[in-house]
Amino acid sequence: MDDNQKTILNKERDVGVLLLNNPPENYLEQPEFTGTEKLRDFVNSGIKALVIGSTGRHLSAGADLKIMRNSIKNINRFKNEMTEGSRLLNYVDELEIPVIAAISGVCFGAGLEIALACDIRICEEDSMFAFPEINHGLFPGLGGTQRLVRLAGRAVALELVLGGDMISAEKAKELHIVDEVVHKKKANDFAVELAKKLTDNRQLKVIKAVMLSIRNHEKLPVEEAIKKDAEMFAQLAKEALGDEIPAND
Amino acid sequence: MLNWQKKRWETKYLRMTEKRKISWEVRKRIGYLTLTDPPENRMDTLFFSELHMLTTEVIPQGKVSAIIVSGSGRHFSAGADLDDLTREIRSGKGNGLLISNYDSFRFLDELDIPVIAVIRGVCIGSGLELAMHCHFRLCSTDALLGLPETGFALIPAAGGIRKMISQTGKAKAIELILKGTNFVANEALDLRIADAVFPKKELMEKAEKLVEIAADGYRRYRKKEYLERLSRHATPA
Repeated sequence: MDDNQKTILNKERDVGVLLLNNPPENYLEQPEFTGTEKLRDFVNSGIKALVIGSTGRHLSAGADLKIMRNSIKNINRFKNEMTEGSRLLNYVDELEIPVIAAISGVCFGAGLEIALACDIRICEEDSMFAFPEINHGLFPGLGGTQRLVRLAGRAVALELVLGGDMISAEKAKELHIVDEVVHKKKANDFAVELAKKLTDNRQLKVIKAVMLSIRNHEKLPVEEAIKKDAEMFAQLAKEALGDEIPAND
Repeated sequence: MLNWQKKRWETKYLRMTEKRKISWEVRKRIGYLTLTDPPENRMDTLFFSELHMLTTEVIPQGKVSAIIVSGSGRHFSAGADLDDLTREIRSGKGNGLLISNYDSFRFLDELDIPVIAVIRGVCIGSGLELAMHCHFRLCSTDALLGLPETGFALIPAAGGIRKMISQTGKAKAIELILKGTNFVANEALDLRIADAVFPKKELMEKAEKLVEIAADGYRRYRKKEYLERLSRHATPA
C-alpha cells in the first residue's frame, strides 16, 4: 500500500505514472497492490492516461508467498484481501482513460494479472512472462485467466495457466499478449511517451468517450454498444458544432 | 420503412435523380455499389437515405452473388458531411438517424455473399467505417485511411470502434482512434485493416477475380484461404 511507499504515484504533465516499488523483485505483499481509493483520487485529479510500471529491474515476480502463507491462516481475512485485489484490477480494467503497462524484466503471477488489466502492454526484449501459480497448486486468482482468454484465446490461456511455463518477450508478442517490445530499461520511458502522444491534443471528455465506447464494444451486445455510441456522439456533436442549425437550403 | 417514409423517399429520390449519391448496377450477378459524389464522395443524409433504401428494399430482393463497393473518381470517400448529418441531433430530434446509418453498414457486414471494398485514394472517417463493414478491403497503393473524428472532438459512431478492435486489436485501435492520424495502404496491411494492396489500375479486376474465387459456396473457407488463392492467381504460373 502507498503508506509504506510500496507504490509511487507521479504525474508527468497529464499522464499519471504508478510505479511498483518493492525492488528488486517487486513482490506484491497484498492482492490490493495499491490503495484503490488513493488511486481513484489520483485518476480523478484529471490525468488523461495511466502508466503502470516499476522501479528497479522487474515489473513483478508476483505475490509474496511468505506473506500469503501467513495471511491464509485467517481464511476470511484472506478472502477479503483477494476480493479487494480483484476490485482494484476491475477498476483499472474499466478506467475511462487508456492504461499502459510498462513491463521490465519478469512479469509473473499477480504481476502478469496487473499487466493484463491494462489496455496496452509494452515490454523489454529480455522480459519473461508466466503464471507459475499451478506449481503451487493454485491458479491466477484476480481474473488473470479470464483476461488472458479474452486477449489471446482459450488455447494460449490454458497452456500458460496449466503449464506454468515461462515465455519470452518475443513469444508473448507473437501470442498478442504484449503489443510492443522495446530495448532493455526503455519500457517506462516508452510507455510514458506513448501515453503523451495518445492524449496530448485531446480533451479528456473525448478520451473518455473513446475508452468507454471500447469497453462497451468489448462487453455489450452490438445493439446496446451502438446505442451508447450514438448518445455519446450526439452529446459531443452538440458541444463541438453547437446547436445553431444552419438554414437548410 | 413505413409507407409514407417510402413515398417521401421516392419523391426525393426521383427529384434528385441526376444528383444521386449512390449508383447501384448489376452486371454478371455482381452488384456494384458506387459512391457518386466525386471528388470527395461525402456521406450526407441523402447518401444515407439512399443506402437505407438499397439495403432494405433493393439488395434483399435482388439476386446478386457478390457486392463491390467503391467510389467514383479518385477517392473512396472523405467521410461524413458533419454539418448536414448532425443537424437532426443538434436540433434535439434524437439519434435515430445515426443508428439507422449504422444498421445499413451492418446489413452489408452480415450478408452471406462476399462484400468487397475497393479502396482508391482517400478513405477516412465514415468512409473507412463503411469499408470496415465490408468483408474484404482491397487497397490501391496510394490509398489513405484513417479515423480522424477525435481531432474534431467527436468519436467514430458508425461501428468504426468495434471494427477497429476486431481487425487490429485493442492497443492499435486506441492509438489510431485517439491520434486520429491517417495511414497508407501498406500500413493498413500491417495493421490487418487492409487485406491486400494492388496498383490502382488492377484493383477492380482483382476484386472481380476475388468474387470469382469466393462467391461459389461463400464462407465454406476462411477469409485467409480466399486471399491466398487471390495472391496465387497474381503470380504467373
